[in-house]
Formats: sequence, structure tokens, C-alpha cells
Amino acid sequence: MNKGLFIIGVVVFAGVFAEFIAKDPYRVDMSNRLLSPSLEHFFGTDQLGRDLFSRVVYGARTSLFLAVSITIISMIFGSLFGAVSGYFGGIIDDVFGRIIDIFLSIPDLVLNIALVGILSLSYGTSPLIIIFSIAFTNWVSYARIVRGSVLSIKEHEFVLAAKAIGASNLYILRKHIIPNIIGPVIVLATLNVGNVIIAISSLGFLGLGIQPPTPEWGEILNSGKNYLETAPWIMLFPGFAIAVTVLGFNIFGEGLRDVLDVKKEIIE
Amino acid sequence: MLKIRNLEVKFKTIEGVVKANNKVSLELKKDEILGLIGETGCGKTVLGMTIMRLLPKNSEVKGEIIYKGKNLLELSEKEMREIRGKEIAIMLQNPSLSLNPVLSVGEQIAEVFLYHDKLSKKDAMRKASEMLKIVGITPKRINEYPHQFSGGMKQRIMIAIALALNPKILIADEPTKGLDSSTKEQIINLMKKLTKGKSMLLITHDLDIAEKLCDRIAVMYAGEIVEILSNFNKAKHPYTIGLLNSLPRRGLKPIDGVSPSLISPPSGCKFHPRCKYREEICTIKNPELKNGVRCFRNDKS
Repeated sequence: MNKGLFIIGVVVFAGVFAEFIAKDPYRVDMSNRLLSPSLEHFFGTDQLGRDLFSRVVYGARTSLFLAVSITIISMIFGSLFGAVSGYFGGIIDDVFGRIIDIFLSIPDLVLNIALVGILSLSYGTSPLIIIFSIAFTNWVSYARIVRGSVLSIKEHEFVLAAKAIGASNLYILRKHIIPNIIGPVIVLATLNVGNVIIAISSLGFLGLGIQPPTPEWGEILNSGKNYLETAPWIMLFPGFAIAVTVLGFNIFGEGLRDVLDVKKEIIE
Repeated sequence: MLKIRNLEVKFKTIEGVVKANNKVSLELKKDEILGLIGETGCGKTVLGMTIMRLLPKNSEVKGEIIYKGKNLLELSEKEMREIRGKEIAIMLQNPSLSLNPVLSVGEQIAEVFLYHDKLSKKDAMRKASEMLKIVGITPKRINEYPHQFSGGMKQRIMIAIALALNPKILIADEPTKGLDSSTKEQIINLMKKLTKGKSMLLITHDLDIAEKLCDRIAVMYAGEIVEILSNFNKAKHPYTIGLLNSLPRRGLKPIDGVSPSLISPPSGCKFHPRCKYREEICTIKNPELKNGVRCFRNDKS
């Protein structure tokens, strides 16, 4: 868990203080294109002579901002959806449950690509569209887990006791049920950030995500793929950044899971 | 205060329809402690939950529960929420399960004030600490969590929650369950002290407590009231007598047989398969509750 936290700390630090760590990621220098890593350019330069280290560091800011926004939005929406479905049961649960099933049956990336494609045709590519498109598929895992947890929590006697003092359903949901399911949701969110980073990079790699010249790990990968043989570092370093960051969130999430004593089956 | 007339409660289950309460008529008078005794599964708790309208969805309720001239069974859910806790409060069984493990006890007492009286958080917590003091717990422990308290302490917290809004009627469902005899004594004395001027329905299977505390005692068997009496010495129904004889100080003689299934109860008097005085008529016809006893033997004499 500490190792995970350390990695996350380094990435967050890089993202937040990018101005102080790195040079200008946009500065094109055609006389210095495709340089291999050196003391001056730690990660070398790309096909336009931009400093790759700076682009990867600024990329951390883009990826983290998007990933955290997407995770928070899908956590709030998915948890509410699952909580209402599980708590009220009956027809509401039938309808909401089927909606969850439908979303689970469509591969996330395919739906993401389709959504980004359609939306960017009408509105042009923007970070908002990427946030919306990934959150659109990502909330489902929260809904599923929260629904299951609420189903078991609502049978506890303290829920009946709360009803006995005259509390309304909404109040019980807010004060008694949600505090009891917050553990698994936090663990899921931490593990989920890693997946979301991969989703963002996938879209970027396919050219559908953040558009150049904004530095984003997937976008750098995409731009480097034509130079894989002559300048492999263009793909190597952002790829490494993605892998390490995702690993960090996963290690931290699993540590949290053990600390918060959440059953493994619930999350997986 | 509270009049129950011809109450019938049924549950639809996969195995069949459970007739948990059958033609129950009972009156809880002002300032009275009414005991409700009977074996496990005879429908005592169901009666308490029916009054509070807290039964699960598969239940079907008929009859009347009149409080302040209104039939509680006909009130809307919103009107009922105003009654719960404020007018009629219930102490559920199992204090350890009825307290939320992730909220401090102070928050759980304060909740009642926050919710009904719309007090500020600070005022609610102050009132909660007053309640703790009243039930004999030092207010210093207000921020502790339920697992840090013993069984008797938790029961005291339940009392504090139930009495926080000064309800007119308290329904106590087995408040001494799982407590040792000295703690039992303390809890009972505390309840007796705090419910002065209130009406209380005390659900229990502890005959000693019922006798010590209650003004009147209703005996329930297989979902029916079989006897209402003010003193166990006047017991007439064979079931009540059987219950008394099963006490250690009366010779520890259990009643033969087991209590009947509520899905397919016996014909006639529900107690006849276990009754040593049964006659032919008992197997055919269910006697009415007359002069507080539901038994043909009593009718004759």
C-alpha cells in the first residue's frame, strides 16, 4: 500500500508542479528532432523536436485530471443509481437492474469510441466529451456493487429501528445505509482510477481522445508509433508512465481493500 | 389510549399463508403497563410491529388500531412517520443489532431530535447527552460507538432513543432478552421509573418480569389472545396454568407437545392438541374470549 501511495505521490507531484519540473512541452525545435535520451533531454525528443520528458510530465496532469473527474462523476452517479435500485427493490430494481445488465453486456471501449465519435462530430473534441463518454460506461461497476451492498445492509435491524423513530426512506438511505457501504466504494474508486487512465490512453492512442498538441500519454504513444524503429523512446516512456501509474493505483487500492476489510469477491 | 379491534395479520410465504395474529382485540389504557406474554413465534412481536406499521411487504392486515380517534392502519405513510417515535415509540429486540455500528451512540440519540424537532446538530447533541444521563450512562461516552458498550448499556441507549421525544405509548419488545438477572432488574427498574405517566406494552416471555411490572397481562397463543388477567394467581386458561407450572419455582413441568404451525393451525381451540382437559367441542369450535378467558371450561363454571 505504501509503495502504491509513493508512486501515486510521484505522479501527482509531477502533474501539479509540472511548470517547475519540466520545460515547455509545446516548443517545437525542428533542428533537434528524434534525439535519443540525454542529459539535456532526459527522455529524448519527438518527431517535432519537443522535449519528451516535459510532454510526459505534463501528460500526467492531463491524465490525472481526466481520470479523477471521471472516477468521481461515475462514483456519485453509479452509487446513487445502485442505492436507489437496491433500497427500493420491486419494479424500480427490476428496471434499474436490467439497465445495469445492458451496460455490462456492451464492451466499454467500443461504446466509448462510438460515443466520442458521435459527440465530437457535433461538438468538436473537448475534454468534456471524453469525461462524459468514459463516465457513461464506467458508472456501472459502482451501481452493481452499491446495489448488492444495499440489498444486504437494508435487512439489518438498525434500518428497521430508524423507521421506528419515524425516519423517511431518503433519510435512512443517507444517514444509515450510505455510511455503511462507503468502504467498498472507496476501494473500488481507487482501483478504478487505473482502469480509467487506461481508457483515456486507449482513446488517445486511437486518435479519438485528447487532441494534439496537448500532451497526453495515449496521444504521445499514437504520435510515436510511426517512429517505433528509429526512435523507440517516444513510445517507451509514455507507455512506462501509464503502466507505472496504473500499477500504483492498483497496489494502493488492494492495500486499502485489506485495511478497510472489504471482501475480495465484492469488488471483482 | 390504544384500542385494537379484531386485528388479523397474515403473511404470504412460499410455504403458505402464515396467520400470525387472529382476531386480536386488546386495549391499552392510560398510564397502564400491559404485558404480552407467550411462547416464541406466537405473534407477540408481530402485534408490536403492526401497531407501528413496520411489517414487511408480504403482510396483509385487517381490523382496527384506534389511537386518538384515528385508525392507524388507514393513515398514510407520511402521517404514520409523525406518529412513530413521537406518539408511539418501539424498542426493538436485540439492541446490538438495532444500533447502527458506524454511528456514535450520541449521533443515534440526537438523530431523533434532528429529525423530528429539527434542532441544530449542537442542540441535538446536547439533548442526547441529557438523555444519556437520564438512562444512567455518563455523558462523557457520547462519542463512543455501539460496540464499546455492554449489552445492558446498549439496552439503556435503546431506552434513551425510544423515550427521547417523550412518546405517549412505549412498546418494549423483550427489553430484557439476553441480560443477566441483576442487569435485568436494573433495566426493569429504569423502565418503570421512566415510563411513569405513559402507557407501555411490554412484550416478554419472562413471566416474573410480567408479573412484577404489569398492571394487566395478556397471554397469547398461536396468534390469539387466550387470556387477559391482572394477576397470575387468577389464571384460568389451561395454557396460562401450563406456562406457570413450567416455571422452576412451580415445579418445572413443561407443557406437552409443541406450539402449532401458524400456517395450518389446529381446528377449534388452537390449544386443544396439548390440553389435558380437552373435550369433543374443543376440537370443533374455537371458544370466544369471555370474561378474559378463551376456554369452554370457563364458560361452564
